[in-house]
Amino acid sequence: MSRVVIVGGGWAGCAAALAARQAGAREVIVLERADSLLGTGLVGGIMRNNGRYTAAEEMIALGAGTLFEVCDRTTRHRDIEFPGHKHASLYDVSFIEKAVRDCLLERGVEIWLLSRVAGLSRRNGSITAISLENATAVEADVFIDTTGSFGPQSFCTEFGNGCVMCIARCPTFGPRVSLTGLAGIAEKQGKKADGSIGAMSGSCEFGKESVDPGLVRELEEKGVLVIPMSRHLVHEEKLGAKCCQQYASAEYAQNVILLDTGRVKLMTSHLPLDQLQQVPGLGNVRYDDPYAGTVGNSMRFAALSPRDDAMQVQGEVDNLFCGGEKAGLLVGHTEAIVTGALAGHNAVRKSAGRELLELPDSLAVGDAVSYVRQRMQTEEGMREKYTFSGAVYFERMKARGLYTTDKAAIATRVAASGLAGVFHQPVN
Amino acid sequence: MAYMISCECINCSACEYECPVRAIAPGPSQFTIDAGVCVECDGYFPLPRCVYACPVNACAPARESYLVKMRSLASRGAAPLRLTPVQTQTSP
Repeated sequence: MSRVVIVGGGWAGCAAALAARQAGAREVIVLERADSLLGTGLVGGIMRNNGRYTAAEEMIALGAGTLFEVCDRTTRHRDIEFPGHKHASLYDVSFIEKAVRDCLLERGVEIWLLSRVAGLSRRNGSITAISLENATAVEADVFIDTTGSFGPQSFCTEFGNGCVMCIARCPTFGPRVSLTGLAGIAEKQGKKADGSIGAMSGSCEFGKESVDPGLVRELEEKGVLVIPMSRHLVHEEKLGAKCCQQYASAEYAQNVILLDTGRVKLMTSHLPLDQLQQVPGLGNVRYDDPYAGTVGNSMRFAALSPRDDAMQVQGEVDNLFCGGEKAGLLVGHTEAIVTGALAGHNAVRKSAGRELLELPDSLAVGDAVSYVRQRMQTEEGMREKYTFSGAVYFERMKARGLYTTDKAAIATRVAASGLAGVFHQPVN
Repeated sequence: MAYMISCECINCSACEYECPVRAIAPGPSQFTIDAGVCVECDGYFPLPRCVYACPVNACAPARESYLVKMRSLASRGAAPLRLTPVQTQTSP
């Protein structure tokens, strides 16, 4: 059976690796440019809020639930509410990477860290191998591009506020390299609401030791704190630039919203440190992610792959798939796991010469993959961001009757599609 | 001796445009000067043109100590750190 190489070890890449192994790939290698897996997932944490609950349960019923179970095991808070969001889970960002890494290794996935891709060779319309910065060549039958959409630094310089020293750590590990780009396939760039290119990552983090102990106790107990800000500190104009439009209502500008993800996650758009320190209880606070949180955050949506609903990249090569943010304006960990798993499964189908799997629009996960692809064909669609947890796509989920937290109903829906456990079944 | 561009480079391309002998090209993460082509603007300009153009002082006379270290940074171009699957694993 096949050998699948995945470039990018974020949530999408990890989901693709597990799905490829489940589908029967003989050898699966994840190449990650940095020293740890998960990428932006290292500073994330929010799962199962609003429609993400439905999407997670659909993926579990489809047989691709492993990573959701890992998240559930490292969850600090379950079923919490914060403005605009219900029944969220928060995984612990301190423990999640090791948990995911162990999960992949236990399931036969090989992980190469410090492995930045530098080149690509092809023959007869197929990619035959990719080469790393140290000139090691890695051959495979099928490749998956889960390289994300942030970086290089010059992108943050041109469209954001410069390098803010975010979790991407481009200066150390080198900027993101797009496999789709190396293959010479034209990529798209996402837009802000005002039409300018890119979108700014929303949340920031700081360590608990710099926060008032009383506030930390309350945060650890409830999982969430909402602290109203003085009028002079409110910057509503920043909301339009955010990646995560589900966290861009006025409440996120008027309050300091904090979540307990092991560290303290600030859901309000970046604030200059001197202003943040005027918030009661945050007098000694300093940014831990990004280190230069005073001026902003990293810029994303630099390079999106053209793809079909089976996650195959459309272009001059026939053995390239994509997942995660690379695959379009579908933002979030849950969304990356969905598109990544589909890419990993279809990579094995492709190498076995089988028909590719498309998820039906009777499921939220299938509808989202297809809807976002269609929306990205339009100029206005490129200015939106899509997620199961809010903004336009959650509205569509509700309007189409797809949003539910009833696990039995979701299992029935998946069974009716004839795809229950499809990701579990080896392709042969 | 040639000139070099340090990692302060912000990829603005001003130096590439100004270089009279076209010794400068964009690299994977920053612009670089081809030491075999660079003539330090000898006979062209009193001050090397890249030094004149660079807004962040990233162009400087090449220092072997810097170039050697840059090439050998562990995280860039070193052998990958390979984590192999747990041996006891059964079927996927």
